[in-house]
Amino acid sequence: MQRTRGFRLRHAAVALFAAVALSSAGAQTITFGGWSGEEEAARPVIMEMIATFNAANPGVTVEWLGYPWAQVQQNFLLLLRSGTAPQVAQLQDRWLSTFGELGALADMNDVFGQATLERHIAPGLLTVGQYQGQQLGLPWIAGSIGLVANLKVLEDAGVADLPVTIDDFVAALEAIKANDPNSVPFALTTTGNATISTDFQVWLWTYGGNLFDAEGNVTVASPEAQQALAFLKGLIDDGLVALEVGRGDARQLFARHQTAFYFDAPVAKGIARNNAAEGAGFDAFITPMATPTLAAGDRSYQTAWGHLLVLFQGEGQTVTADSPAARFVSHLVLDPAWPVRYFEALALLPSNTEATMSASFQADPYAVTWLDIAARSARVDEAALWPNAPQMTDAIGEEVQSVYLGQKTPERALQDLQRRLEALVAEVR
Amino acid sequence: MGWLLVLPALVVFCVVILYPFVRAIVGAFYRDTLFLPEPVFGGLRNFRDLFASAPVLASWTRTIVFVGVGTVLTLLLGFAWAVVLNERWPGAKLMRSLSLLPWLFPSTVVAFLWAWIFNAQYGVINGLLLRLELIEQPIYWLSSSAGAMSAVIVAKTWATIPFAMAFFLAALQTIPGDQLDAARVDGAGNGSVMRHIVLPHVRYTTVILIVLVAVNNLQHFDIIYAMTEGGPVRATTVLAIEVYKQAFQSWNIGLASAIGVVWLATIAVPAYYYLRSIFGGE
Repeated sequence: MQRTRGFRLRHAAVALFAAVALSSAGAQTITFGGWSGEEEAARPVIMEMIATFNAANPGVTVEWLGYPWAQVQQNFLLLLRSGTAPQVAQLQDRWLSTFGELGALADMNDVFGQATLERHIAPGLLTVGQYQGQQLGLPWIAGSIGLVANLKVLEDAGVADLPVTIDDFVAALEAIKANDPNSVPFALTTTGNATISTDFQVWLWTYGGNLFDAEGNVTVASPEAQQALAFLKGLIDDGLVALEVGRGDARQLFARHQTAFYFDAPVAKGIARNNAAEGAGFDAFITPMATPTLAAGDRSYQTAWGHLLVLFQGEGQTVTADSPAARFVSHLVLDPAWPVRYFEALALLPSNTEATMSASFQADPYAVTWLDIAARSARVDEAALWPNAPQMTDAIGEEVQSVYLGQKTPERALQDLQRRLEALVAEVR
Repeated sequence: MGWLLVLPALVVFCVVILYPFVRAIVGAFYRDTLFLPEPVFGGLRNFRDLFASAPVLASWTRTIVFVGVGTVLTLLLGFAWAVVLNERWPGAKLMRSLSLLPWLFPSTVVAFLWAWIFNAQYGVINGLLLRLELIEQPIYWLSSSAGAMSAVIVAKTWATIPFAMAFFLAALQTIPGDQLDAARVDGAGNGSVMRHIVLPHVRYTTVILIVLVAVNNLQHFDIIYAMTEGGPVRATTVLAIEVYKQAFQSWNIGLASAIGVVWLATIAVPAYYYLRSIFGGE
């Protein structure tokens, strides 16, 4: 058995080279893979983007290849190993390190030029798509995973202002619970490793802890991390946070006015509209807010978040700006028309600078507020910077959940997490 | 000519079943991860890692629990329901048909159905218990190791009972009526009839079912993954889930293959008895 990674990538290069060669001979099909086109709310606008490009580019046909979000990463990895990866792909920001480590992505600076990219996308946002100094992805939509608040629930509980400090936050939660004992005042995700990890890290940073230091050493078993985990466990014990709540459950609770706060991407507004009995009328009840801090004036944190567009290329293969795949990426991201359209359809914050200056974006206080908070607070998921991020995320999710379920103390869980992360770091160093 | 006739099936078997099977076994002896440039022969290293890994060994233990409890429950409930359906009562024939429905549902549908039943916020069980004031707060069924394992066992058993029931019903209907009549005339009660006539008669069917249901439970992935994804905190991570996680989340193909070999060895035991009973008679 002499199956080699080089052999597989050469296979991929041959397949891609054949596709590129055919393009000069006539009609060419390129595959655009991802998950948004599989979601009911996003599918119409995604198909509209594809159809518009196809109409404007005779001889090129973009075809959609969709998977549910939870299956995208592993399916793309399988497609890579079989040499059938899509030419253009939508990735979650935290997956970039895994694909970047495989050397399968084109450097966008080489394709479009760094100056061109910075003319259309703020340098700060471009960092979301960077790995080891290369621009391996372009942020298609940007923002953060941050707290959203339900103003109706707060008003009904007599909470006049959005909480700024953690003490204010807990007081608000208690007031909400007292007003409605059946409510889940804070829909922190307590199931699902990926979302447990991101929600936990925000509180870890708030309490001054980190998963790693600047040199990449694991530092999670710290007093600050214990405080953060003990805080979250305390909320569960006090009935202010419920078990078995995933992101989807939190969205449902929010739309039914059974929770006041939960973490989500800017898409929360569009999802709440779809789930709520009020429909678009729910817009009046939702607002983004900064994560509460230990003391007023402290830096607030959110998890940097975005969808990336990447160009898969085989070993020895070069993607150029005039190739159909690169032109399609330009159509989606660098041309402000479609980021604006995407925003208008789904309230997804555009990464394109011109799009954020558009009248429709500026007229949306929800989007402007979110972008303002994210600019001050967003920080990259620490596990996402490692090529074995999925294993690290699983370890974080399992150990944190063991505390939520009362199986381990915060101290024990963090010590176990420290050991597991150290082993994972050693695998890739 | 005979070889020509079987050749298409043989080719399909070799390509679809034999080659992946052999390759997976060979792969167990290679270190193959996403970040190795190419697979490297590692001998028994994957097996050493497997037996030194407490989480992986725990998966094996959980598999035994899932298979053992699930198989026993399926057979007991399947037999009981077959006894009920074997009697003549109004609607018995309709009920026989309806009883097959759980078996016909796709596994993921069964999983989502039971996940909703056990849901702490919106589930039927908690709703009923709260309404009857038997509990004051929702019970988080899927948030404890025992609760989550029980839930997946209940879901899988529910889906498999019709299969066992059908086998038992067929066996019950072959019991000679004159034996039952004679026993009744001799004064045998229900317990005696069950112990001395019915159970011996269905003994062979029971052995077959034990093997078939156990193998089916050993292989099972869908319901568990769709309900709990192997959680909470790996509480329902049986061997099937462990193989999936190692192969497609940790991308450790070598270790996944080694777990597959252990899994195969576990399935081989009941499979051997099944094949022996089929080809060797009673």
